[in-house]
Amino acid sequence: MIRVTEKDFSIDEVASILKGKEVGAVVFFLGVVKGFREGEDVSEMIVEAYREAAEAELEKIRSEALERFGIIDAAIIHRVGRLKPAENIVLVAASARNRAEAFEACSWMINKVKARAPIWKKENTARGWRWVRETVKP
Amino acid sequence: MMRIEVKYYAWIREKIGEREMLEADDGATVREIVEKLREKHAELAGENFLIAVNGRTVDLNTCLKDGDLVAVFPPAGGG
Repeated sequence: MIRVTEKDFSIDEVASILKGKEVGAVVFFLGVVKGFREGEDVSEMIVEAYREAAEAELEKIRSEALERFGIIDAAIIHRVGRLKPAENIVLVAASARNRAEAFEACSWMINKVKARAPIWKKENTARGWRWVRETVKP
Repeated sequence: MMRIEVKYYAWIREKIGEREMLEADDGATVREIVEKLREKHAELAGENFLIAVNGRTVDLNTCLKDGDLVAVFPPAGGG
């Protein structure tokens, strides 16, 4: 399951999609908007995506994780648009027979999302809007 | 001659604009388009950016066709 969306997501909905007869563990990573970063309060964030390429890249990351870690299923949902502090930005989830591979796959996938998906964040502080230009090596 | 549409994203879009049309010789490569863009837009100096053609990331030797959509965007920054 891959989604780039303006809408919020339900962790329960994703869990129900990822659960199955052989699944013994579902691990989630939930990324939320920080209200304070680099010494300044953040009042709002805009998340922008090159949507077509972002969806393709998320699908690729998901497929690679399924193969690499032998997990049963995986989901990546990334929100776009205007968000407030504490709102959900990204959900990455992996289901597996056992927790070890689910933890590993989940951690690997969020690192790859941050390094490879053409998605960018801009945050509003008391001094105005600024792009978040953190780079994560692919 | 062929016409290529170029679309910009994130802070590159804020510096240059959302989109523009470029003319290029038939069979021009992505590398030639990138050189043309760097000549035209001083704002791209020092910028590290990626290129996709019609939604797919490509290497610099890829040949373009009339009507292709070239996306110019910064390295990933989501999550």
